[in-house]
Amino acid sequence: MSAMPVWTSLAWAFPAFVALAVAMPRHQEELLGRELSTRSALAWRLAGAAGLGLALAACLQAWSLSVGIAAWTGLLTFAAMLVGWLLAYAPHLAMRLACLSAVAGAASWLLP
Amino acid sequence: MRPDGKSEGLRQAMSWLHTWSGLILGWLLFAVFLLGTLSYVRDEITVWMQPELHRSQANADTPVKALEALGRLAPEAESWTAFLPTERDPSVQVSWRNPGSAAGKAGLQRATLDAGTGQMLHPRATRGGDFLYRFHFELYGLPRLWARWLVGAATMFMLVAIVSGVITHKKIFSDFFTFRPRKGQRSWLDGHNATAVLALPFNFLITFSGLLLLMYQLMPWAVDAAYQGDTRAYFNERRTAAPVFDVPAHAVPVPVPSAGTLHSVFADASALWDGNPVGTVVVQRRDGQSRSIELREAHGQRLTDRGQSRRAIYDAATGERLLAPAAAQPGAAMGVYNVFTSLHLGRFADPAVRWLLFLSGMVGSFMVASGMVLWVVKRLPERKKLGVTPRGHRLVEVLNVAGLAGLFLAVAAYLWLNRLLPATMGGRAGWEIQGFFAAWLASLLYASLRPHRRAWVEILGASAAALLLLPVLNGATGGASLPDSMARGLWSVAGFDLSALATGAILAFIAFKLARHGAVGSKTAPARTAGPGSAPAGVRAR
Repeated sequence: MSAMPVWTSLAWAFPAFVALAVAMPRHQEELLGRELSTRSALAWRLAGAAGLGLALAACLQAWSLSVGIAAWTGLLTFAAMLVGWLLAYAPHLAMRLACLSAVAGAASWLLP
Repeated sequence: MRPDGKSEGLRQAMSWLHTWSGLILGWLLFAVFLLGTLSYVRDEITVWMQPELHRSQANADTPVKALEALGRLAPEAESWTAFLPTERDPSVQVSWRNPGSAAGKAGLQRATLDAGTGQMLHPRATRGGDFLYRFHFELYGLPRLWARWLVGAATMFMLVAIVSGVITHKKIFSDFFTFRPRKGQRSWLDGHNATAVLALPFNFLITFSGLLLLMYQLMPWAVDAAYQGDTRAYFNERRTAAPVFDVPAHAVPVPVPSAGTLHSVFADASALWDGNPVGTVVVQRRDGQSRSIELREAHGQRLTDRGQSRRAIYDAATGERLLAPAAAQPGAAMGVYNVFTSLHLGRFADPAVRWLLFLSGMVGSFMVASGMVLWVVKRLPERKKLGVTPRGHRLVEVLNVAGLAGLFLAVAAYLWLNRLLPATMGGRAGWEIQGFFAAWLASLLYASLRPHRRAWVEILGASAAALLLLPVLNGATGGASLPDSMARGLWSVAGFDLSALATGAILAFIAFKLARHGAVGSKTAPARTAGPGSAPAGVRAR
């Protein structure tokens, strides 16, 4: 088994957690430079949830149901830690890296 | 009820429980966690500790070479078993049973072969990763039953600490991504919370499944009652019996299955198992002739059946497939038990998942360690006000240095002795273990003699240096050097060396930060906490 599904799953989980952070009032100022309305915060939260779902899908493509779910929860830990680390040390990079990561996640599915 | 008579809320009560249940068995828990994490790579550790195996290189003819070697070593044997090289172990482990030998494992004879040539290898005596693995659930030198009870109790405390910690943590969601660096106690608390909350699935899983694995010992009553104390009958019932397959004698005698037959049955099995490789070859024999070849899958793919591997049986002469039984389906309760315990044991794990478990274990170890450090850091303002260090605080400080930093030094000493002791020395496996405990004890003495911060810096620094130099030591004492192992794709050895470098670098970084800032509860360090007041022990996360 190659390490590819791990990277695909991380590529989705990382921007998903950034989106979830954007949905939180505490992080909106440092990530977006402004506060969001409740409605757009909800949209970000849904986008984040969808991203986590895509990360799960990547794991389930590579592994059986039981291993896939276990690997997914394990990967979420590291994706979330990366977001926490970025918010503490380089918040201005978080949004850009999240966009790049989502593009990479999509590319790894589109390319064979 | 508090001493001052005020009523106590749930959160305060839980905070008290969390602090003290965590402290009492924290050092033991850290050892269980860290050595348990290393157990995910115990095969790799064992291989690293036997540099005689590093030259072994598998190829397509490895099974042929292995069975030819068995034909020379044990021509009369009733059965041959060859464990083929994996990404974790480059050598071939073979065993055989001669006619009339004892039943069970006692009647087996074993050897280690070079995967490329089939030549017998003579690895040095060592307990390897097994010592670390055993220590993490039955310690060392204690009666096995007592030690397991002790670890079981510590695991129970861990579960209590996890649950009470979640209840204590006020802002588990709004603080989800929060880490505030360079703020003393605040940073330690953030770090402790982040590693605990973000890795909560792993932390809970590993603790709960650890209890499940000790369950038959801690709570034997259900099995005792249902099986009238005959525990063996219970486990036998759970195990699926291997079908005995009787192949009649061949017209033309087949001492060793031919290379052509082996290649064709390997190709057939690989196709049968969606490309999953063969892990084990078992040859059933009679009167010095091979009758059947049984192939087993390298590792299972599902957690619910405990990663049980699929099997296929072939005629030893013709290579015709005789049987490929379907894997048994477990019941729901057994399925749940299997999911939890297989994850704990890493039974099924391919390299990606094994890395994930290893890293999660390291995060969990940091979570335990940061909690212990936090106990000291949180009491600094109180102590500063008091003007002296209470004896209990000093005791925790010393045990923290020895129990946390000292354990890294002990593991490093174990690995160094493995290469410094002569390969043929009598009782060398025992001396490696003595060295482990000697280094641990020495760090305890050292920590009790040195100022707190200096002790942290120096023991962490020594551990870091010892780990960073391991790849050099490996290359210099007969092992595959890092460039060599990477070039050959020998990832068990290369992965070990790279992990030693990474761990050493992290320890060096922590030692460096401590030497510069000294934020870990030293007597001289300024207490760089937020508020000036003496935060009462019970108030957390605010």
